Amino acid sequence: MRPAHVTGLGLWMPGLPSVAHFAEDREVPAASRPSCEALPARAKRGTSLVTCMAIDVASQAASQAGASLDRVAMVFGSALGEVQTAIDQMAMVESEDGLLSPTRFKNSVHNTASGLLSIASQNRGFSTAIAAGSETVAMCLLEAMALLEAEGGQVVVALADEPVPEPFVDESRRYDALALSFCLAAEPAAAGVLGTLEAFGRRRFEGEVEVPERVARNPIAAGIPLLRAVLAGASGRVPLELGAREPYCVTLRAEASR
Amino acid sequence: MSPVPAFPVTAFSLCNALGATTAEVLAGLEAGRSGIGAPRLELPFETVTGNVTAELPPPPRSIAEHDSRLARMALLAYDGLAPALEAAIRRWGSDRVAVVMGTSTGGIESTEAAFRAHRAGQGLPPWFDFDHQHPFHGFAEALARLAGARGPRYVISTACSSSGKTLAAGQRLLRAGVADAVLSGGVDGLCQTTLRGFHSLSILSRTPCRPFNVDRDGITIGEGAAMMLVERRGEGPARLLGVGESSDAYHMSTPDPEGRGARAAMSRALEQAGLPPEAVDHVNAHGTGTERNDAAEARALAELLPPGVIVASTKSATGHLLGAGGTTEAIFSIVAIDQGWVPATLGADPVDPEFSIEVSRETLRRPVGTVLSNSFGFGGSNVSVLLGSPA
Repeated sequence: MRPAHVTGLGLWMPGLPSVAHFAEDREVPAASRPSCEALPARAKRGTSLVTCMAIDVASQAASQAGASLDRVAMVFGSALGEVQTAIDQMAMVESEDGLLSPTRFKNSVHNTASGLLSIASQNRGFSTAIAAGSETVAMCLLEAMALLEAEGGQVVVALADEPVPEPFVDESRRYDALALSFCLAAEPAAAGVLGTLEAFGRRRFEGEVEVPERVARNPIAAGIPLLRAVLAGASGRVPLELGAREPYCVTLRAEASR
Repeated sequence: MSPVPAFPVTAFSLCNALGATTAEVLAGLEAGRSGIGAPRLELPFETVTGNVTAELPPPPRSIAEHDSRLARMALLAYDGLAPALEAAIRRWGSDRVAVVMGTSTGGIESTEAAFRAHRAGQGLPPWFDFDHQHPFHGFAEALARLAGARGPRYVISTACSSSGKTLAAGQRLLRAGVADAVLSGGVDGLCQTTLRGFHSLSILSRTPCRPFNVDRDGITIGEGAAMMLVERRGEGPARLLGVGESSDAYHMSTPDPEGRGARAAMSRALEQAGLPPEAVDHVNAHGTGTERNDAAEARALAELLPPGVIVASTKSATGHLLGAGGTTEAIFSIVAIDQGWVPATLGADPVDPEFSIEVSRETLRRPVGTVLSNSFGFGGSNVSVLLGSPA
């Protein structure tokens, strides 16, 4: 596969509403829900945290990359997707009338963020939604890199998972919400290149990675080492899965021009 | 744009309300039989569903933690092409075989049962394993482990376009040199959330759906699994010529009435193959039987394709298989090419006089060289798969 250039980043987690806040560890206690400005107020009503996060970080990365939301290709990834909405709907099924809300139902699909953002931005191009458990970050980057190889242009990869609700949460699944994004380009973008990804594949990785404890079990945390490496201007192999002996990795090449 | 390489489809397999094996399903389809009947789930409203009635054996012990109805249906379909997949792994190496599956519901039927037990004060049942049964990717992981495929594996979940888009993703993995063989497909089961959700949108028919009929009144939900093996080289009944993907950018659950997204997806599939619209012999339509879907799709078809192309919808035979629909209908398209027959659109008569398309009312025997297979989903997610005869 050809190398892909990282041209934009995004991040949201409770209290850390942007990449800058994350990099500087500058908490904003009031940041309990993303602003999700790409959606009109009407569309925002009734959307889940995971959808708002995904759209927010997609917009952040596209904005940094100078990519237009009405044209850029979109790859959304989430291990569990609209899990809170799914459980809420199960409670509705068990309620007295057993009926569901049509608005909740149409926003319960895994590609809700993909659909809502394409509608809001009038983007009639490529958009998809992926799930791959602990490999969600890796598989979304693979899908994006394969798409760039086939079609060129730019792709926003937006990754988000919200906390698992009761009664299905337990210690192994207790984590804060987290969303990350990467804008990738086939060619260096006018707005600049933050790093270049190449050599995607399963590799042995024995280095240390640093992930905030409160999101460490969130499946999307697997993207934090790459985000940190890009921010640091580092070069070298970066794992895309946490805790695996032979995770999918990419090699990040720092750009001299950054 | 220069044409993308055409890749051979070397094996396929499916199960749904028409049968437990590929042979049973195809025999039922060719005979013009419908598998739709009374729903297997208890519901507070009247409807019909396409139920898989075959016995679904539990998975082997090596993947027992993934046991669910969804996984069992996936394994039933997998059995039909396991020898071909094993041969592909021997030929290309396990790291070069990818598994890309589609589903809209994942293991939600199991989670619903666990949730119901919890609400009844019984706690979560001991058989329920959230990490392996609930997530979308659980059954794909089980398939990959069972098959010994060690290439990339993931699930695409874009509602009703899911498994059509797995063919696009698989094609890209082959083009990028990441894999040499891809097991694509999809699985979806009936569940309370889906049936009650479509009921809430007032688009669930009480009777078997009637695609393109002037009096059509909604969809019929079905369940099933379908899988297709696409390889870099090989012999098979058809070739994957192109796949077009687009977004409606119109509404979460209603198609663009002008059919622009549908038309764009079909046009892109043809562009990939370097073929003009005149090359298309047959379309396996999305054809859900809702007022709006069929009107938008008929418009897109009439605007893009020349008169005389035979359009069929098989959803009145199988039900709408949601995340399994795209691959199921792509397989029906391959069979049209390989065996020279176009399936009947059960219940289509009388066809809406507003539609300028030719809808199959009965099984039609004729040579078929090139077929478009359409799938459109919530969120305005569209995919059109172009299949052609072997080289």
